[in-house]
Amino acid sequence: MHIPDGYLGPQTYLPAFAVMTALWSAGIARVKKTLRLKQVPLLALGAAFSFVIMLFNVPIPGGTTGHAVGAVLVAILFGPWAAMLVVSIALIVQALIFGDGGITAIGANCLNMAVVCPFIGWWTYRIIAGSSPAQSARHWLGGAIGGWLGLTAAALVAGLEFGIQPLIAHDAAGRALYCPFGMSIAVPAMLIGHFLVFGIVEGIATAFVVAYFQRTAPDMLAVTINTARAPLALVPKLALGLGILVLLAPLGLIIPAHFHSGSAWGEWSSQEIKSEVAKITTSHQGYVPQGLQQAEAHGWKAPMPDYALPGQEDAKLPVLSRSYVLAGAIGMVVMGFLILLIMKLLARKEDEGATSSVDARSPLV
Amino acid sequence: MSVFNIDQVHFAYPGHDPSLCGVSFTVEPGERLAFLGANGSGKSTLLHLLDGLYFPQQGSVTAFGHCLTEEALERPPFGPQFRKDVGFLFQHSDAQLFCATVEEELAFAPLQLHWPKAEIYQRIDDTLRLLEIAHLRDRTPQNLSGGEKKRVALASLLIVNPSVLLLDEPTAGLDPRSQSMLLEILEQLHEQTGMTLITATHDLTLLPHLADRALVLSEDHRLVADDSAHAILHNTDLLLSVNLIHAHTHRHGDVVHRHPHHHITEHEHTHPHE
Amino acid sequence: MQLPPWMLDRRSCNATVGAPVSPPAHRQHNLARNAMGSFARLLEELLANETIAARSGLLQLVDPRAKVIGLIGLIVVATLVHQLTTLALCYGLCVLFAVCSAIPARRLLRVWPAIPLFSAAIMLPALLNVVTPGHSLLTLWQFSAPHFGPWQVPPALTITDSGLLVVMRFILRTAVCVTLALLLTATTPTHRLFRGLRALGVPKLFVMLLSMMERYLTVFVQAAEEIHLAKISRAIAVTDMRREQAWVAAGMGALFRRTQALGDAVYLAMISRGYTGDIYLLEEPRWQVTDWAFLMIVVGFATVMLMVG
Repeated sequence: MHIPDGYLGPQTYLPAFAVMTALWSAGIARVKKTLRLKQVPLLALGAAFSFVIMLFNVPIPGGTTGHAVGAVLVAILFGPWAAMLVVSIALIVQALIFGDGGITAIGANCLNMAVVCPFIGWWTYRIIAGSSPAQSARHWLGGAIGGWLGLTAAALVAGLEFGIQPLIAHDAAGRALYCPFGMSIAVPAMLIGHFLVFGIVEGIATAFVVAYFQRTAPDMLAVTINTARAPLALVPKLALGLGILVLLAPLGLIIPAHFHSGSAWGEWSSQEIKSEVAKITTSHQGYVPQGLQQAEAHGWKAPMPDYALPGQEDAKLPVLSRSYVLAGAIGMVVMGFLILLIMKLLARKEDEGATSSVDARSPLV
Repeated sequence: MSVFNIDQVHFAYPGHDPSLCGVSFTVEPGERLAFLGANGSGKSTLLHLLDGLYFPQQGSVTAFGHCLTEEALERPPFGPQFRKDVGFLFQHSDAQLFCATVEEELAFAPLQLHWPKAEIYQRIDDTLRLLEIAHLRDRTPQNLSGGEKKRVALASLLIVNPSVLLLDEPTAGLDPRSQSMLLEILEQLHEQTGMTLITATHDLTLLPHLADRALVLSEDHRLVADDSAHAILHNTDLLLSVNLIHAHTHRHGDVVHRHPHHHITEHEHTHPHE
Repeated sequence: MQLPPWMLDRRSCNATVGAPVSPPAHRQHNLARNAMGSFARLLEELLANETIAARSGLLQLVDPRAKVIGLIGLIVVATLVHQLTTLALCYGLCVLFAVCSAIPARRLLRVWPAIPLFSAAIMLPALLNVVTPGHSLLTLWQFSAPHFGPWQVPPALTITDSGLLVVMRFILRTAVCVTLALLLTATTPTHRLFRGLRALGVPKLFVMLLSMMERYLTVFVQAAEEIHLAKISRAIAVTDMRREQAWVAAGMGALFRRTQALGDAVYLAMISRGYTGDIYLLEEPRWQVTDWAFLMIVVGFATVMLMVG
C-alpha cells in the first residue's frame, strides 16, 4: 500500500505532512515521558523488525502468499504510539533508501499505515480481548479482526486520498493532474482488494503471532505503553478525524454548488442579506440592517475571508477548493499546536501537584 | 580508597530466579581480578552490578566511595564521572557497536562528556592508531570481522581514559591471533597505566594473562573462593565442584582411568600407568 | 552410552516411517525461498548504493545537506508542474547528473519498469474514454448496445487524447520523482544521508533512530535468513497451510524476541558509555563552493520549471 510520488498533489501531501508532524511530536513526547531512555534503542530496533517482517511470505487460503504490513502486530507488542513511531521509521527508510513509496508521499503513507492501521487495529484488539486472561482465545481473535479491520481502514483512507485528487487538482481543461480516478473508483478499488485479500493476510499473520506469544511468552502481550492518561487518549482520534475532515472539506463547496444553493441560513454577507430581505418583504426592496453595515465597515478583517485567499472569494470552484483545503490545514495546525501547548501546561501542573506530596507513589510513573 | 566495595549483595533479574546470593568482596586500585564460574553462575551479572546497570535487591555496591544507586548515577558530577572512569566491554559486539561508523562510535562517549571538538578529533586519531584500526575509520561496524569489532569496541571505551575496565568473556568467539592481540593490549594497559582490570570468564586459560586474583562463583550463585589466581588454579577439588573443569575418563586396553583434567598451557604429557 | 536400536540399524536410514513422502510441494518450498530472495535483494540494494556512493562523481562531492534540500526540493517542484515538456526537461537534468556521478545506465533504466506494478493496472483504464473523456484517437471496441448490465456505455471504447496526456504526464512525473530520489540515495552514504535530513529540520532523535535502524537492518535480515534457511533445510514433505502459517508466526516471534534482547543490550551499552537521553552529533564540515554551486543550479532550474510549466 505504499503510495509513490506523483499520485497525490501538494494539496493532499502537504496537509498529510502537517498532521504527521503534529502526531510524531506528540508520540515522541509520550514515549519519552512514559518509558524513559530504555525505549529509544528499542524503537530503532523495532523499526528494523517491522521492516523485516514486511518481507515475510504469509500463506493464505487459495494457495498463494501475501505480505503483511504488521502495524497492528507492532501495536499489540509495543503499544499504539510506539507502533506509530516504529512503523513511520520503517516507512521512511523504505522510501528514502529503497524507493518503496514516494518521498512526497511519506506523510500520507505514514498516516495510512503508521496511524490509521495500528490505532484502529489496536483499539479493536483491546475491545475484543479486553482484560481476558492471557490464554483466552479472545487475544488471537482480537489480533485477527484487528489486523483485518486496521488494514482495511488504512485502505479506505488511501482510497479517499486518491479519490479526491481529480476533484481538487485538475488543469484548465478539467483533466486530472495526479491520480485520475475519482472516489467512485478509487475507494471501492482499494477497499475490495484489502477487505478481501490483504486484510486477510494481515489478520492471519497478526493472529498467529499473538497465538505464538500466548503459548510461549504471555507477558509480552501486556501493553508496554501507559495509556491511562484519559485526556491524551482522545488526541489520536481527534487528529485522525481532523485530518480526514480537512481532506474532505472541499465537499462542502462542491455539494452546495451542485445543488445551486446559496450560503447557509443566517450566514449572509451584506449583499446576500439585501436579496434575502427583498424576497420576504412585500415591496421586494432589500436593505442592509445598520448594525450589519457598521460591523462590516469597522470590524475585524479576517486574513482568509470565506476560507479563501484574499481577493479570491469569487473565484471558480477549483481555486476555491484548493483554498478551502489550505484553510482547513492551517486551522488544524494552529489548533494542534494550541492543544499541545494546553496539554503541556496541564501536565506540568499535574507533575507539580504530584511532587509536592512526598508520600504519593504514582503507579503510572 | 578502594575502587569497589560489594557488601552482601543479592540480585535477581525481574521475574527470574536469583542470580547472586550474598556476595561480598573489595577491589583495590590497580588490581587484576577475575570472576570465575560456569555459565549461569552470575559472573556477567556481577559485572552489570559493578557498572551500575542493574541494582541489587539487597546489599550495596559502592564505587569510589559512593553508593551506586539510580539516583546517584543520574546526578552530576558523580554520574558522568563514573561513566567515564569505568568502561564495560560487552560479550557481544553487536550490542556494543550501535553507531553508524567507527568514527562516530569512538566519538559517542566524549560527546556525552561535552569535550571540545578539537580534543575529540585528536583523541580519535590517537586511539585508532593505538589499536591499529585507523583504516576502519569510515566503515560500518556490522561489516567488520570479530577481531576488528572487538578492537573498535575497546577503542570506544579507551578513548575517555577509564581507570577501570570490566570485561565480559573478552575472548569469546575470537580467532587465536585476535585473542592474543587483545590480551597483549590489556597487559600493556595495566603495566603502563595501572588500570584496574576485572574479567568475567569460564575459560581458565585466560587466567594467567588477565588476573592475579580470582573469585569463584558456584553454580548456586554464591562466592565460594577469593584467593590468588595461582592458588585457585591448583585447587582441583574446588574447580571440579563448581564445574570449571571436568573429570575425564578414558580407557587403555582393559583399564579405565579417571582423573580431573585441565590444560592451562600447551604441553605434552604422558599418563603413567601400567 | 547405549544407542537406541533404530540408530544402530543402518538399513533404517533409507526406510521411511509412515506414509510415503511426496516431493515438497512447489509452492511451499517457494514460500521460504521467496522470502530469502527478498532478503538477498535488500542486502544487494544496500550494497549497490554504498558502491556508487564510494565512487568519485559530481553528486558525491556535494554535501548531503545541500543534496537533501536541492533534490527533495526538485521532487516537490516536479509535483507542481504539469507540462510534459517541463517534466521531460527535468528528467534530462537528472540524466545529466547521473552521468556525471558515475551512476550506471542500468540503474537509471531500472526506474522505468519498476514504476510499481499496480501503476499499470491504474493507468490503462485512465487511457479510455470512460474515465477520461476527450477526443478519441483509437477505437478499441464497439459496443452493440447502449447498456452493459447496469452501466450506461458510450457507443465505443476508445483511447482519448486527454487520456493519453493524463497517463503520459503521470508516468513521466513518477519517473522524474523516482530518479531524483535515486540520485539522492545512490550518491550519499546512508548515515550521512540521514544526517543531511537535519537540513530539513528533522529532529536529532529521529535522525538517531533512522540511522540506528538502518545500522541494525543487516543484523535482522541475517537473523531472518537463518530462520528461513533452517526451514528450507528441514522441509521434507508437504504440511498443511495452518502449520506453515504457524511456522511463519514463530519466525516473526523469534525475531521479535531477538529485537527485545538486542534492544535491552544496546540500551545497557549506551548507558554504560554515558548516555543520558541527549543526542550529540559530530559536526558536519562547512558548506563548500561546490555545495552552493549545486544549489544555485537546482534553484535556477526549479524557477525555470515553475515559470514555464
